[in-house]
Amino acid sequence: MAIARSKTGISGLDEMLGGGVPDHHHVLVCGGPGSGKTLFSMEYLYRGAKEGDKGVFISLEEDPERIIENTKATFSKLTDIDQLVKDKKLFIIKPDKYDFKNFSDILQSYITQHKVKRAVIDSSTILKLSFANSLEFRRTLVDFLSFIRNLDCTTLMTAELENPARGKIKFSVEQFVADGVIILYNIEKGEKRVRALEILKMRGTEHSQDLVPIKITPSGLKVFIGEKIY
Amino acid sequence: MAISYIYDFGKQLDLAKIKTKLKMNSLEGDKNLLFLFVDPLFLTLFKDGRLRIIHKDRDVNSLRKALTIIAPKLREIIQEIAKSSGVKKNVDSILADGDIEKFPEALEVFGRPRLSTVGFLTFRELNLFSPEKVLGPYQRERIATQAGETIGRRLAKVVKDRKELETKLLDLIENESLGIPSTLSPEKAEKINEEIQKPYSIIRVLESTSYGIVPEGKPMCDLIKGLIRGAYCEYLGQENVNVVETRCWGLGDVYCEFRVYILKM
Repeated sequence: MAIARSKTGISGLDEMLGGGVPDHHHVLVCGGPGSGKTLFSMEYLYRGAKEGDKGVFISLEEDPERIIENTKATFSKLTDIDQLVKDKKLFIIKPDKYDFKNFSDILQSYITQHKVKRAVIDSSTILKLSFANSLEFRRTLVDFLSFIRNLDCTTLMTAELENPARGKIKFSVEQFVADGVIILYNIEKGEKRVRALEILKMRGTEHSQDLVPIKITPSGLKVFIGEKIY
Repeated sequence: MAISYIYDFGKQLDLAKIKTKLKMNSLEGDKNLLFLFVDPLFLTLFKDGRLRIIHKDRDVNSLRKALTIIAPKLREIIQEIAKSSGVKKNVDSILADGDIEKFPEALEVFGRPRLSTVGFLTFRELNLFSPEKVLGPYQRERIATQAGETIGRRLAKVVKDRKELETKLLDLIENESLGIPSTLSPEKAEKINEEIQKPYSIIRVLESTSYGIVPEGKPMCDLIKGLIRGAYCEYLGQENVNVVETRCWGLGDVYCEFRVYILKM
């Protein structure tokens, strides 16, 4: 039986995922600084909103206005972002980052009240600050994911990698409990850096395991499936 | 884990007499208890004959230690309570029978024996204890918050201004027998530690749904919290409203207090 999927709309990525992210999955998007996690997530929501799936971006650190401005500046050909926000198809919000209950209240409101189908949480690194220790974070994260899975929403959560070099990544609790993990890299190649992506895991579906180059263009991210970095 | 110590006098107490003798405090609107702060312990004396003691840090190890330190003073207090109410039980046996409070309240007799349209015990079991046992504390909190928010939003749909909103909200809490509510002026209210902005609104609820509960170090009134949040979200037309239960029986207080913060969108 075919599984229901949430198409990312990101060029090349849905093919790597076998058609899209399985519905109601919780996917971690991790990477080092400047690897494109926020842009990736914003495009996921943008593409969804264009197809009728309302989305909410919950930022725990950066101001919503800045996120919109950066997205518009980078994806300059996506000219209707403001309109989607105005039409309440795309929400960008910043709750109290030290209050996990408030964060849960807000996400729950958007899903049940505003019927959002896609949510992005930026980032798990900041969310951890709400907790006294990693055990408490792990317990709550497992409960939180269990709660999210019962709601009609597919979620992405960004996570900063302390050591973003491939092969040296130290995985933490978020990677283990998530349904899917996508890693964004900024790899040294000679004197330049090349952006790349790999799907580390995605439960319940076949997916490409290749490390592929990606590019940030004015019309969105482009994943070059079939191409190699080296 | 419960954080209170309990002594039982074994009979109804004359709170009016005890209040005068021991200079204990009472809450306006609640005739069923008195409270007293004997640094670092917080004493709550119930009309039905129980004395509950909590350490101000809400920690059971600190509590045991402090009980030993203030033992002579505690003995005096218990002696006076027993004398004022004609308690036949010996002071030594009251002290010896004291223990850490482990179980949820089995029977309570307050001024309001009913909560909403179901009995008090049934309400508590449905709303608090069983969901928590089956689903865990996080899911229980989510369900209760959702239920409260749904009702709160419905309430706020037809209000014309803030005054009407708050009147309707307080009426609902009272009419549904969820507690005895009142609003407090944020200007006059004490500043809570770590409060980074002034609250938009403060609602206090006496004899709430968690009245008399064994404190576990966490707030328990998610239904009321959800009600308040849903009402303000609907009224203000935004979701970035944070309602924090800053005082609760679950935290060892003797009333519940909800602070409403409006965050920037």
